[in-house]
Amino acid sequence: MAARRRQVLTLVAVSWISIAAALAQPDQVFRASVETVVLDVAVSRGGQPVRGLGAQHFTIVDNGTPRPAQAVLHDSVPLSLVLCFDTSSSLGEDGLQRLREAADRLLESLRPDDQVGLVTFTEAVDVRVVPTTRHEDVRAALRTLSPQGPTAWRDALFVAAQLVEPTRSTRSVVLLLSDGADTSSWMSASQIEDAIGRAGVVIHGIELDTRPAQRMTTNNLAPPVASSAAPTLRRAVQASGGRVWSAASDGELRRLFLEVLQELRDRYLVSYIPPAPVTAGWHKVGVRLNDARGDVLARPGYWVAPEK
Amino acid sequence: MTVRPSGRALALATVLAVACTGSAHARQGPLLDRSYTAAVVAFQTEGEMGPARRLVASWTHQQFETAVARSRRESPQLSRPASLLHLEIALALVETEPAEALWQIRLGGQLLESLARTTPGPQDDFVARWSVVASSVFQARTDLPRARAALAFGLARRPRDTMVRQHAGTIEDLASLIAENDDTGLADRKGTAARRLAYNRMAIAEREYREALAISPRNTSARIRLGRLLHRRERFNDAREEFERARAAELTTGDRYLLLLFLSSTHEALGDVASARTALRDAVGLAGDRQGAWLALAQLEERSGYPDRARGVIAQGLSRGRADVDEWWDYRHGGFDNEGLEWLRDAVRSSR
Repeated sequence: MAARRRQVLTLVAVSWISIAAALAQPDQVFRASVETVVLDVAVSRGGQPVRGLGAQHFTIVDNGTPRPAQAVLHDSVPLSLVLCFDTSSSLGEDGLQRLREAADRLLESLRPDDQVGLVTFTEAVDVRVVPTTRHEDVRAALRTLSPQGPTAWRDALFVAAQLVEPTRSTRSVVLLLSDGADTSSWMSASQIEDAIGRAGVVIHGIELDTRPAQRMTTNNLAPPVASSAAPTLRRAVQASGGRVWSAASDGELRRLFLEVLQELRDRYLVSYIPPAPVTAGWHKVGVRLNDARGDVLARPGYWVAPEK
Repeated sequence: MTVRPSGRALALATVLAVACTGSAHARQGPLLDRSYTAAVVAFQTEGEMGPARRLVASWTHQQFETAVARSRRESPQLSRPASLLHLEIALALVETEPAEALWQIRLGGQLLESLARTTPGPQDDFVARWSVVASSVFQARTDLPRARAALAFGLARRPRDTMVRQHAGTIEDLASLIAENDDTGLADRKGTAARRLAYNRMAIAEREYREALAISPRNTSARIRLGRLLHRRERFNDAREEFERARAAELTTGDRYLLLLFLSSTHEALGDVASARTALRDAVGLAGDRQGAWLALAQLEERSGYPDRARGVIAQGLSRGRADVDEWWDYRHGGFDNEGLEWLRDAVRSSR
């Protein structure tokens, strides 16, 4: 059972932990005392976040069985954020500069205990900074980027999602910025959706539309037929319970990054005890509000790996 | 493309080009011919592109056509260097002026007409090689309509060349990849149309690969691509059979790497995860500086329920020095035939 628990810990958004204990001992590896599932949930009404909700306001339906929320954490939870940025040629030098400025502003807005990492991608994927509280490492890495090559956002998203293993009391989030159709990934469209479903990481995607100003810098570059990445990107983001944001130009990135950060802070970490016995496979999950109104956004389920 | 200045050729061509552009068209014939020939000779003897660039900047299409027609009649010995010169011009223009680049390729094809009527050995076919490289100028930009147009000359003049048929297959293969890119799972009309287009392109690509293999059963590159295509068409046992046949042949490192990558996904599709893992471990052992195999191995481990192993593979694979090339990338978004271009340059140099 211990081995099984370890697999679950590392595979899905299921933390076999007590959240309160986790927060009290943020630097320790958690040991299961209570089998608890944690969901990262956004609640909004009229486009505005609904704040002030407690455990009594949430019911979670796990494979058809309603379960009460055990605990709810809000703004105080530190982030484990991976910035996953497309630096393909279509972004251009100007676009990259605006991306740096927007990312700088985002980094300034992080709290000292927030962790941040950086993955960049063209046709290749580069892990520039693994998640760390030294935010200046990311700032320095951003200075070294140059735009080139086509786009492999699916492979990059897979790598980024593996970097934020949801084993600690943090919000595990990937912020993916891409502007084009994936032309280079090994991972297929359906595989990335499944992988994100298993990863237990919330993905927020920003689609940057650079099509009116397609720029090329070498002969062997992204196709002129590049279409919107929307269908697959949106499905992958939905599988994680995150949101897709659209930027009509790179000038909007600064504003959008801060909006995304605010959304992350406004979300609830809702924990509950799943119905026993916890079976291997996919668990479909729905979140209902009690005595509160709002639109709920959360991952549609979680994955429990079969025992090896 | 590297261009080295050459004072003598440059001065000669400048004088000729300036003289040429100032004359009445009716009297231009000999001057056009001389400046065109000078540009070709400068390119052939010294790899000098300057004179040709000046012609491109100042000549009309009609002037080029006149000069090419005269060169075909009066200097057939220049057909190889002249056709390569037009290919190099196309390469320089394709990024900003793709239509003009294709026009230059067509001029190059005209220059090769007489050569195309000869029957060379399969290892010495300048026409076939030129056609494939010319087409790859556009394929590398995923400009498939122009890649097809550029290959039309080769398909018409060298229909029994295995490289030409393989390249025709890769264009359609790539078209099918683009058609299905990011549209899988779409239920709407656009998604259906994309899938139908992908299916049709895959059928044409399979036919071309099989034709390439019928001409030359030892064309392992075509066999590897055929195997991948069969995999994509969900004929996994047929795919594995092609891969196993290719595996037994002598392969370049790049081809063997690609084969192992493809073979692993076919093993996985057939439920044999252990063999898939072995193939990918062989791939990273063979070409550890290619990122594709590391990512594929990490993804396989994660899918198989071993996320810790996946993280280990990512840590190991992505922290290594990375090659600028990856045969997977070339396969996936179209590559330029650099090797073919070098072959053509050598052929022209050796004919000085």
